[in-house]
Amino acid sequence: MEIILNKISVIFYLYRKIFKNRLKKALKKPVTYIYIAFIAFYLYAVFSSFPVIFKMIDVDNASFLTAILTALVFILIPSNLISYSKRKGLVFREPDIHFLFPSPISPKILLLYSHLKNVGIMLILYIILAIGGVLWLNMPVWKMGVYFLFSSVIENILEASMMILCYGNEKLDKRQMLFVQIFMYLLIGIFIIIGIGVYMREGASFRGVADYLHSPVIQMVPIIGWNIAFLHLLFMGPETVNIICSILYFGSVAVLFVAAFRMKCTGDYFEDAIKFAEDYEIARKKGKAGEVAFIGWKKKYGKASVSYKGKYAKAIFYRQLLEYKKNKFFIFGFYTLVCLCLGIGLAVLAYKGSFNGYIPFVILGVMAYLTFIFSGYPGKWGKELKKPYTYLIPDTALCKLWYATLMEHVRSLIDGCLITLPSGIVLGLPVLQIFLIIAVYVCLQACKLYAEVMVEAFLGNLLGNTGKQYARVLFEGIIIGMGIAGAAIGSLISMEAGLVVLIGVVVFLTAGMMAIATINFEKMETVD
Amino acid sequence: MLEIIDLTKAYGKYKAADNVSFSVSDGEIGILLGPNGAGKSTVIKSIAGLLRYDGKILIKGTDAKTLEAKKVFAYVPEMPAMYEALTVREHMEFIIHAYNLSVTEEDIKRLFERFELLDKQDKLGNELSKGMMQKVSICCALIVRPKVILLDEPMVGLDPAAIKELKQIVLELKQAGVTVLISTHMLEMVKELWDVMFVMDKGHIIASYKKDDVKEEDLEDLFFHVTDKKE
Repeated sequence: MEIILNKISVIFYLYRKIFKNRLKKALKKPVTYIYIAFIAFYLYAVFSSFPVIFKMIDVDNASFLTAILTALVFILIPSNLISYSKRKGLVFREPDIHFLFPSPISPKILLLYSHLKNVGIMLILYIILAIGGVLWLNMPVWKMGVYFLFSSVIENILEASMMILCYGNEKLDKRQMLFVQIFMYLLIGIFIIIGIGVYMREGASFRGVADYLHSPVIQMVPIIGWNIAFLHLLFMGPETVNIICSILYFGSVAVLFVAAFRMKCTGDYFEDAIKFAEDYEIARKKGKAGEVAFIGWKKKYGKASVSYKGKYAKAIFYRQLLEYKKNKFFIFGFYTLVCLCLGIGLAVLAYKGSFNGYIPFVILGVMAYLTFIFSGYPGKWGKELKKPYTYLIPDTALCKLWYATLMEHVRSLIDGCLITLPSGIVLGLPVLQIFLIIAVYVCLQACKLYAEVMVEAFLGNLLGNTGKQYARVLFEGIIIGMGIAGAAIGSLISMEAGLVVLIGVVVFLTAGMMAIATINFEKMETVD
Repeated sequence: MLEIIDLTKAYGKYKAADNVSFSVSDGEIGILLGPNGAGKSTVIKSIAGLLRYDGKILIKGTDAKTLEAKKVFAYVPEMPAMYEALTVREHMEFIIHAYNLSVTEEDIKRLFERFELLDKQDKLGNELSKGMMQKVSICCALIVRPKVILLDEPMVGLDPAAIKELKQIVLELKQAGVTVLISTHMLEMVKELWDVMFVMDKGHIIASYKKDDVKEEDLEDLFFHVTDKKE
């Protein structure tokens, strides 16, 4: 026992030091205080608005709280079990593999170490629930206190035991674990289907669903239901079913704890944990670079070829083209689909006469929304900046920037067509107008792109991803705002003239940003 | 002593290590060689307990997966990975806790001095270069005072002074009766160190030599002799 406690203290040493150093580093950054103020304001807003909402929908009672917690338990426990039986859901990082896996710390303690990362987040949730229960739902303090202790201690013992038994298991093979997963999926499926059925039968009322969530049948489902039974006992009062099932719950927690404690675990799971850690690291890096990333998802490339027509920086464009040709969907992606759906949607609404001849303005409005709000495609230009050979190509920085971003302009041209052409054709807009609207979209996207490159050059070292997005929107907003002002004057002559002025102003100012942004391609180092 | 007995590791139908057996005695320096994809990393990771495998791996006669074996074993991976928010010093303190070692301040200082880390003690993991990380990784392995040590490409990223120091340390470990296994491609770096050499290719040990048997024969010649013959 002393050895176990000693090893657990090692884990806490690691957490304590990491937390202390991170906190020290964070407190030196002014942005931390802005985040703290923002979170404090957000929490205040949430805490003060929830009671009003609950009063409005008349759910400020124990029945509502129990129903919400029941649904939560019925989703969380099985989904965690599924993850653990697949040897997923626990994140070990590369240094853990380097230092912890070969060390004489029991593999079971290492599982607890990784689990603790999730516990921290869950503890915050339980604290919010406990405080919220008292403040929003007028629950007695002692009841929410017991709930907090129950969920943070007993539930955690249960989860940690299940995690060790599933993740650390060395007796059951993958096929046998598959049965656990299928059973859990079935359980969640049945729970949701019956819930939807009740909701549809009873109509759009919360009461019917609440009655279903309080039913004794749910409380009789082993372990998951028994957990729910205790919540009913605590919040709704004693009944024969919830008393018996609560006793069964505490008994099962004790049995699972002993089983997990006694189970042999020599670290067979290390191999799967390493694989998951590698996949996680790849996804994390992709996510940081602004790309869509799923853990374990690997992009498949087909075969393709390209004939390089041109020299020097132009080679960057052709290399990108080759990479895109190897992609399953070439240069198209989820964002193309969004543009196509928007185009079709606008055409349908225009056909129904929803816009009364204002369709060009609606299309432009949608385009402006997309430009400001959507982050769009993760462009390849960002990756070019990380490759040393980009800087070694004997060409000017402007040419390198242009050819590194050229494909983005092609993409925005296609997207502009997808948004504009369906409704333009349906309503028979003049060709010149359609052409100008598409050109406006290409210009807006170019403005966004070069604002992004410029921000990366000058603020890349100072701001995180969110900060950079805000800075990008600010520069983009200034330029497009000036373009719109110009367009308003031009439109006094005609709409086409307004669009030409808009394009002219945006192109002129974007070219200025582009010239500034070339500094990115001068040398690898970003500007301090 | 390190014993690998009938080690087999398969990824689906592909056998990365197929019935691999070899041993390195106490006070001996073993070198594991082989071209890329030969299966060296699989063997190394299996010994370090990072992979599932068939067969047996014994460290000082004890199953490598037991905590007893791990207490006397140290591993320097090819790619060191540091905790971003821990300083160099805190990495060492962590290892001392994890292995429950009784180490004096003087021991730590001596190690840091040998690898020129004394002035880098307060640097965080994410502030270190690849070479620095490798030095920390080696120090963390040495502070354990292992009976068996596994070094996977330990020279990569190290500056000449650190390479010289590491070679000296490996010889000191040998004199102290420690079993050393080094996996490397840098034949030049280990030619004055080795006692036994194992050449792997396509998941098998295709040759093994003892320095005493081959006398003055060059390590490089021996390696290319077996790998070329295989092709």
